[in-house]
Amino acid sequence: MNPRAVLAIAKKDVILASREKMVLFFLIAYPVMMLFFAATLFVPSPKPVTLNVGVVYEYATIAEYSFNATSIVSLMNQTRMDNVEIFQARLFESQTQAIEALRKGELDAIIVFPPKFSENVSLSYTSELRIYISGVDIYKTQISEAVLRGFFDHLSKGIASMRIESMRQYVPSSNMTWNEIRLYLYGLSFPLAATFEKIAPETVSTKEGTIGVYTVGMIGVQFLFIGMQMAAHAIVVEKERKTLRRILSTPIGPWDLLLGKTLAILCLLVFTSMICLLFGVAMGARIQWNLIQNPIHWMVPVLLLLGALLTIGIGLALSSICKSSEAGAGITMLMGFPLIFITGIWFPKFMLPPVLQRFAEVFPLAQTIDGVREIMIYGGDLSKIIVIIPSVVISAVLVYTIGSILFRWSVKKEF
Amino acid sequence: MPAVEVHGAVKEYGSFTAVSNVSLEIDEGEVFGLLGPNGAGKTTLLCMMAGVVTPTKGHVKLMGYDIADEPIKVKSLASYCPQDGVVYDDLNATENLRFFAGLYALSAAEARKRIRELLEFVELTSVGRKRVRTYSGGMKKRLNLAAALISDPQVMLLDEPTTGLDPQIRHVILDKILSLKKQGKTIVLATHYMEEADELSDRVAIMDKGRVVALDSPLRLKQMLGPMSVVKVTVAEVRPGLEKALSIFSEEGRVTLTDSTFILYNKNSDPVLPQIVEETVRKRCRVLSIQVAKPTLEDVFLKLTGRRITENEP
Repeated sequence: MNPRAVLAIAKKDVILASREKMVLFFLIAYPVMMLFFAATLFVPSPKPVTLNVGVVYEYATIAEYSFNATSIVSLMNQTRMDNVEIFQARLFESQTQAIEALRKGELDAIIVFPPKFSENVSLSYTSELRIYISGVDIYKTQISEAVLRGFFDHLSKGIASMRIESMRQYVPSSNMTWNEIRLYLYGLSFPLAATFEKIAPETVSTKEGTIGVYTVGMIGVQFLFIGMQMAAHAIVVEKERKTLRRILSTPIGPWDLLLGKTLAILCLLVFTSMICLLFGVAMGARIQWNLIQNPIHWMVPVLLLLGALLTIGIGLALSSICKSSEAGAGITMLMGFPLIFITGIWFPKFMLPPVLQRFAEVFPLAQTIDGVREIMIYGGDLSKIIVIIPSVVISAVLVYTIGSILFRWSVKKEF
Repeated sequence: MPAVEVHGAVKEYGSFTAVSNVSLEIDEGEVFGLLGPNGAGKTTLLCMMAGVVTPTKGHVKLMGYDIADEPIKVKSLASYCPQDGVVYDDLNATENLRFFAGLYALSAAEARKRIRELLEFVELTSVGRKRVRTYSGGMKKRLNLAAALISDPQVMLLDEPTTGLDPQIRHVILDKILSLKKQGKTIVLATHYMEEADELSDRVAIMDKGRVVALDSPLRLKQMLGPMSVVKVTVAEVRPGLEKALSIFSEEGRVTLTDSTFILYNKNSDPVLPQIVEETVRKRCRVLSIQVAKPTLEDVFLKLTGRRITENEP
């Protein structure tokens, strides 16, 4: 091996890459843009949602009772969470008009108070009401339904409690105390009292943690595109520039050329990874990485190196079949683009169908990125990543070796 | 010991034979010309000498080392300068030369010294920090030459170093090659410019269709035609029977027709010139020009192959 030649090749490739606008775009601007959009569009807002609700009263005698349908709408308008209105109620003349507005997307839900609603609610009968929810978006539908269910469950319990308390005057004297009767009535009204509490990993439940997940995911995306594409171009670009024969006429071997090219790609991947991390942190990502305080954090560069060798290996294998740099770009896009979606590198795995989730679990680059996330985002220790290390190491070494052999073969073809 | 030895070299690409059983030896310090039209096999032969093309048969030695056995050793002694630009347009001259210095494992100090000397040698010092993209064709060729010299090679393999350049720039490059010759470097020069081969080469191998059809000094090659002049008669229109009519004025009745020019060989051309004109007019052909010249390597090639060197050019 000729270390000076390896360094010369790597340095030349890095300088040339730094002078190509398109390469700079993909190294710097592309991850910045992706992270910006992810952080501003995909990361859920911590604020509660506000539902636009249409209200229809199907009778005109609501004022006859002190607690009626308008009282409920008034309660809805007063309902707030973290100082945010949960409902914005809008009155409609008829159900037809309200449904028209729902269809146009102006409303999230409609509440129809049928005749005798106010009478029933005041006289302690069961009071029926109809709720229509917009089905335009599955997530919004679920949220609207959950919010309205929560509100009416809570309201229903409140009304039931008031009714039980008001029954005291009508209960005849017996050998049971009022307190015992009350508990019994409460039991009849609320046989189950489940309490719900949201418990999520602190890192992903916060905006900072979610941006951190996307930041590490962006590094994976860059490895897929930059690593594969630059490796796929390694030989074909020199052929197109007609420099390959000149390089091969110098006292270097194919392995020197391979190592030089690999080193250059690694340098560019380190650079773009730093861009991802710095911009991610600037966008508010919480990243844990302290090599001095936590030795397990040394696994981050190790895992990333293995991930890089894996994608470079795939690119080198592709380079043996690419006839032009355009073909190289096309093939790597064709391979890389679907992998972003189906491996959980960028989009969360839970969004994938079960078959693809299993694929994502075993795809080595996804394992690598998951390992990095485990350390940098979730603060995991070695026990959390030890299980993926054998498969990541074996696949990286295997794929890079196959890629190197094919690379050497394509160089030898030139002789 | 010869600087370059080629023994029975053959290179086949499928059914196409690019180089066919070529054997030759080139002495140290010699400038050796490979002359022939495009597709004659010059570049392939040069690439075999450079170790970037493996012969199908035969073997090549440089400075006594067989390329097949010791490719790295051979490549460190020789330098190949291809016809196409081998420098990177988005690097400047210094960066390009530093890259090649690295490939030859020169230390940083050696590289700096060598780059300074070479930029001076090829007269590019003032533009050494400018990107090659801004260079003219001649400047790129000079930089190519500098890149080939970075390792101070014993054998230089130059492939068409002046192709595509205007005459003034060609002379600058040829001057540089002459000064390298004076430094005692062994130079193998592939060219299809006969004047270049004639002016620079100690010996010339004339190649055609992958074979060496003649190999000697330019003077001796020209003497193959004997002590005669070359008469070139250009007519407005070639009529049947004219070639046969003119053949009586040429040695051994040999007449070559290229385009509308008849080429005749005659030991004493002065007395026959009026007769040539008279015969041409008799055949109802208008003489556009008549030219008498000493034989050139082009004439040698023409005599050996029946074609001009430049005939195959696109």
